[in-house]
Amino acid sequence: MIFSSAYATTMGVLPQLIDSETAVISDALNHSCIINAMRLARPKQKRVYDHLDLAALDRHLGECADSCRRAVVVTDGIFSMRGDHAPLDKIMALAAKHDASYAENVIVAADDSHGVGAFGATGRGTEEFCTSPPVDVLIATLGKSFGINGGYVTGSAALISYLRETSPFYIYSNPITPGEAAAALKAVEIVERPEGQALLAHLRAMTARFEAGLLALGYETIAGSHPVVPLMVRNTTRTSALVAFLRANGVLATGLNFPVVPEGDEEIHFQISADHTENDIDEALAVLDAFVQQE
Amino acid sequence: MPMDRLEENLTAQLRAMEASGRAKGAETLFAGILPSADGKGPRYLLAGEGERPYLRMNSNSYLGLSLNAEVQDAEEEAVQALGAGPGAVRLSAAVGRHTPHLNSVWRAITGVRRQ
Repeated sequence: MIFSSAYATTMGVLPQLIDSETAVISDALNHSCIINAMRLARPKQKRVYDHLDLAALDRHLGECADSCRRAVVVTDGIFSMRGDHAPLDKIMALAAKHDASYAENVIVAADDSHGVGAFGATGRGTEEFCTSPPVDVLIATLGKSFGINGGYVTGSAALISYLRETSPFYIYSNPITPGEAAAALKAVEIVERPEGQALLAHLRAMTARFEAGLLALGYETIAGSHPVVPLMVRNTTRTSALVAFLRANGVLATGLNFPVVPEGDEEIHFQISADHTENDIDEALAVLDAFVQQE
Repeated sequence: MPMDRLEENLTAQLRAMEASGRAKGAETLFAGILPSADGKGPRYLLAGEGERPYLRMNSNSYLGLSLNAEVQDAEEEAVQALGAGPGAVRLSAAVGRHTPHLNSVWRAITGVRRQ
């Protein structure tokens, strides 16, 4: 089921699954679209657990069982600000553990917009990386690894049939265009081919080269194979100065300050692409080295 | 209707965001793309900055498919066949003119996920 964007997908899907008898339980670092979808919904219980704190998730699922008929656990697959991932296999196991306590199930919804195409052995996303059973509601995008525009949700036939008739962001909003649909179809085909797998392998190699270079220069990053590579600056002024220095030296990167990220987690948000060459990675690292030298 | 008092409030909020470093700031507009050459990937030209090339490290196109010739050709062919723009919201029957494309994407995605 395809929407105009992944943001619209999340806004159009989650409130339809969260009613006045539902507990919604969410990771603290979930994307803005999830936070706003929860605001649009009217759950009986809204719980937020510290980032990746599965013991807290377990506790919330236990505490809400007495008062709620349904529980929706919602998480990003890849957390886009940091490039780290949710352990979907363990989250699915917790959902299964508590499922019998809820009259209308515990379901897991994941937004893997940054994971699909770029993460997992063959690019199938965080589910594949974690060897997780399929989550109940998978939201993702055509606008990142696939390079086009639009969002989508996958799930059971009954779920999709319900959403097609009830989701206002689907029914009353524009779909993607014919050109975007045709381009997205071609992109999915390419990712499936050896050519797509070669792009993924190159992307991984460039990501590893950049991460190793950051560490060699003495910068802090969050290790992982996802092409979001955060340079943790942990200071608003220095983050802004570094972004300006990069741009003055021909490199476009995005600085993230509070409230986009928590205070103390200010960072430069680098995104590696299969378009990058070793020369490109080395060029960016040279600029970052020059910044350290001139400080 | 006057909006002076509302705008005063809105402007004050923006100034506070800028002062604390929380404002998004002006958006960068691309004016062109130079293709890969000499061992380097694509370079981007920015509006108002002439021919100065930039290395882009903030693209969501992780696999580079937005610049893939096959993908671009597919989009162009569909535009020629079915027109630009989405046509209508889903509630309207007019959306049917490219429903086959949407359904194909949907089948491709769900098929890939199940493998």
